[in-house]
Amino acid sequence: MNELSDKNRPQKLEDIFRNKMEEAEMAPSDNLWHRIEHDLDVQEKTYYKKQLVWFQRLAAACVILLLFVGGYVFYDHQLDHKPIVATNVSANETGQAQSYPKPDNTQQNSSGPLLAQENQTAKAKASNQKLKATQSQKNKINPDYPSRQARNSKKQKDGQALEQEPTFLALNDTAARHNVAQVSTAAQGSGFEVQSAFAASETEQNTTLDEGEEVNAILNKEISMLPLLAITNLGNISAPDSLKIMAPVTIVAKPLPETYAAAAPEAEKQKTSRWSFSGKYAPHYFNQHITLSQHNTSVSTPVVNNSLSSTANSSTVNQALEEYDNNIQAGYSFNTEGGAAYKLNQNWALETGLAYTQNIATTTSSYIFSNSQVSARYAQESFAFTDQDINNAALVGVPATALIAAISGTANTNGSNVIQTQPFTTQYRYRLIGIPVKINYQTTIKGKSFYYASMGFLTNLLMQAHILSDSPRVPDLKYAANADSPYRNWQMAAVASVGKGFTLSKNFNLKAGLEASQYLNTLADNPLYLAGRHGKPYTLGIAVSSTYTVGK
Amino acid sequence: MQKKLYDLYAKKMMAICLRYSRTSFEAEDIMQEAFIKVFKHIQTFKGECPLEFWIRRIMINTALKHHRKMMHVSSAAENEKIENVPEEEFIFSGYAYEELLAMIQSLAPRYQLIFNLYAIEGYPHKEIAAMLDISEGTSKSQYSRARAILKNMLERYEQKYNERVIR
Repeated sequence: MNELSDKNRPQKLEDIFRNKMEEAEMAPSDNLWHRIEHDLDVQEKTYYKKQLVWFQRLAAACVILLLFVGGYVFYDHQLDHKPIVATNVSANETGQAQSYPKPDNTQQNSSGPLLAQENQTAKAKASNQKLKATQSQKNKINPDYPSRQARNSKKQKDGQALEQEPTFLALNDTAARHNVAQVSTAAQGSGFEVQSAFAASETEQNTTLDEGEEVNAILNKEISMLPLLAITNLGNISAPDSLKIMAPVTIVAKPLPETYAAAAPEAEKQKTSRWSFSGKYAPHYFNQHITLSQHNTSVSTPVVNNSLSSTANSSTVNQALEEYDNNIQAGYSFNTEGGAAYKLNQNWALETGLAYTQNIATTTSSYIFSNSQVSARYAQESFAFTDQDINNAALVGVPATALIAAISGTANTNGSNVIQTQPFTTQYRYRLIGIPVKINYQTTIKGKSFYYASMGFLTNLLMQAHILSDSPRVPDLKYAANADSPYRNWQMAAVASVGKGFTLSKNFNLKAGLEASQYLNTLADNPLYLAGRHGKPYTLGIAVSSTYTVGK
Repeated sequence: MQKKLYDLYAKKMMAICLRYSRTSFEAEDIMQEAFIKVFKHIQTFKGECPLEFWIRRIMINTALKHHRKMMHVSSAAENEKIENVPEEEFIFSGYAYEELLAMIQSLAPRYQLIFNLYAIEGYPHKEIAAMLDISEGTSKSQYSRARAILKNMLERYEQKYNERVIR
């Protein structure tokens, strides 16, 4: 037929295309690689940015955790030390040192002079007796015991032994735990000296013990608790003497007996922690405090670019605004808090934490505000809104309720149309996260109940402002905390509460009362757009909370 | 490294993207997106198949995704009747690549897709149906329709060529 046909064998349609396409190569435009490279750079930067944000959050969380743990450990550590100090002070102040022999050599060191100087009772002698016994024990280890023993005996008689032998006491304190073994060794290794030492001190011991049976009773009580090892290893030392000698040593190693601790109730009281953690739930009535219609206005508010009444039929606009004012209702709103409190003293405490608040208001409307011809068309027809439409709400001016149209300003009011439709319900839902700082006063009434009152400030971030409509003609609007939102992002509020509490256990208590908060800012970012009055929202509610006090 | 890989396969991949799109701009968009995927997931390539085949599959998948986005624009009707186009053989084989590409690009998007997948890539109708979320019958009917259109185009092209040669 033709030259091409002659030299080619027949092919199927698929083969023709496959053969040509599989071999084909086409060079893309030169700038394609630059576009790809640019995209890769952007992706890489985004990746690192995300990583950075993630690490920043992690670091912040770690710092906060460390602060909490550090704070807790610090105060816990303080708590561990406070009672001991308090016991010493209490014991000295209340003269209980005179009622009970001091079990601690360190305490003896501090209370010894007092005992010597202020009275010469049998208890003071008992204290001295213990020292003498301890000295005797030391002398067993020191070969020069006779001269020291004599010196010490003399000094103790002068009532100055404790002041003049600080080194000895310190040694005794550290060596106390090893003395049982040392006594045994010394006794076996140098029996003569030990015998002499006992002989030298025995007279004095017997003398002093005779003077106070009370002391003897207490000592015997302590001695009865000696470790078996100490008693059995004493070798050739007679049991009563060795026990007497060991008595102070053993007392040093013992913890404070319960009887002494019980004798210091004030010190025990100090063990209660200053820190407590609490959780609160407070359902409340929420009032947006916005009036749209002008004739209700009691305060003259300047109107800036409010074109609602100028572009649409003014009587319809007024009807729509009045309808909002008449139909606005409070929805289910609540506030919940978790936080920590630091007790300043018996009555006052500082509180802070994290608060989550949900405020809801609902209206029934029969008017739709549309701000452009496009949105007017949407509103008149059954139209499915895309995400893009919603995102571009400010540009195309999607149909909205009177409140949104009013507070959105010029972008949402210029050229607006008001369309009457079937009544529909709209929910205005505001979700806030905030940090409360409060001061709390608490006073005990009787037994386990107490009154409390607190006041402070709550710094809130309006995380979400959702306008949820059940009309297919009015799309839901969802504002986050950013510049696009017609609402003010940061919402400060003053909070006050008063009520009654009940102590459930040593650590737990339950509180219930009234709580009110007054916002210090208007809800809308720019209240001047409103023809009506834009007050500051407030809430009234009931708060129920429980508190856990950290303590042992 | 990335640039070398791109340079090595750019021409072949551009040819693939071109037959899955209607314009060179659209083809470059697909290729850009696909190459970014290639670089992002290159570490997952285990060498189970030739690298070219792996990259080619990414190009085709990206093109499919691109088509899915545009699917609402597609005018191809569902469940067309299968046309019994006889598998006649073409004697003439002097078709230029550009001419054949233009024929494919002139098809409706769904026809274009199915023709590429079946006739050139070699996927069976069952897999094509799963890929495009259509029935196997729809895939077959749309392929037969696409084939009939292309056959007419080839015949017209051959006729024009012959007329030019005779004159």
